[in-house]
Amino acid sequence: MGGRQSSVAEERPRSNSVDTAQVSARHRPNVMTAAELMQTMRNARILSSSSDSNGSEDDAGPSAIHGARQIRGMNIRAGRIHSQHSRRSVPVFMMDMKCPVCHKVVPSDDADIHLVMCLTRPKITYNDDVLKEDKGECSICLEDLLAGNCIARLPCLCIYHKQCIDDWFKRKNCCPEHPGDD
Amino acid sequence: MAGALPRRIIKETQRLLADPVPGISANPDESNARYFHVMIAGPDESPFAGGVFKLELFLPEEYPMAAPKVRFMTKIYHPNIDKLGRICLDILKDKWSPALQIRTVLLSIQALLSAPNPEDPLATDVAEQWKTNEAEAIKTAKQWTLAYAQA
Repeated sequence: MGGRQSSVAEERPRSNSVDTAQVSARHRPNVMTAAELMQTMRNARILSSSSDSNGSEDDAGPSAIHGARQIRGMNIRAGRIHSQHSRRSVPVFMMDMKCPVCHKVVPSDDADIHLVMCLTRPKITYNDDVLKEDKGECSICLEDLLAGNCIARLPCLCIYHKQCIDDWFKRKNCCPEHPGDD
Repeated sequence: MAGALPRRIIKETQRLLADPVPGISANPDESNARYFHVMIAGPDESPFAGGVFKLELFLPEEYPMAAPKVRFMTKIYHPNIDKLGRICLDILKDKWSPALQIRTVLLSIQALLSAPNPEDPLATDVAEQWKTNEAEAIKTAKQWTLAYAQA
């Protein structure tokens, strides 16, 4: 029993730091590591900076620094993904990766393309409006959307109280009723 | 100190009591309106038919921005439910949306009983049995239903 407990503790990174994620990844060589994620990001950054600047080294400099900052951010989040998945009894990570940006599970073969798409995708925005007539129930708070209420119109044409959708967007940038559209 | 109960929770509770989902009952605890005692009848045509499964459902402080926490209290032989009663269901994790409700969550759990998914397992031993010998797995699930899930 004691032996089992210690192995569980070993697999669970205690913090989100890069080192912890890499150490625990060493136990499972097929797992996508934070380092691989970093390399993916670096490749993507190099590609985009060279095409933006037509290969000029002067221009590539600052964007490379910017890229490094992004990579550090990704590393931290990569550690967190790893810790979430190590709770499961099967290393699903061998086949899938949970995107740190949109939280979708994607096959690791597509992970690099998916990450780049996710990081460059524009955020969903909405138009503010003041309702001129009652419009039924807000599906976030279940209160009525009344004439005079300040509302948000999303690209999918869904409407919510502005305050309600602002609260949700702090957690996830997608329509509560059309999460696949993000 | 817990704040006042949000209107949304009061509304959902009233609607659940006034218009219950067939085969499901959900009653708030007398001392904690965020804690629900849930009973789900095993769906007909499933290995859980004839059983009544007890669950607990808790609405965290962040609800509805965060998903309810739900757990089976009754022992059940199911590839997506582990020994501790934890449920592997996407809408309880990363697919949560505030447009979902207690009602829709419980309907999804009822559907999970009708359609076990051994490809996305939580109880790996059960899932393995389900994939290698489905007839035997269904037999075990029926036995457990008779042994543990009688009201």
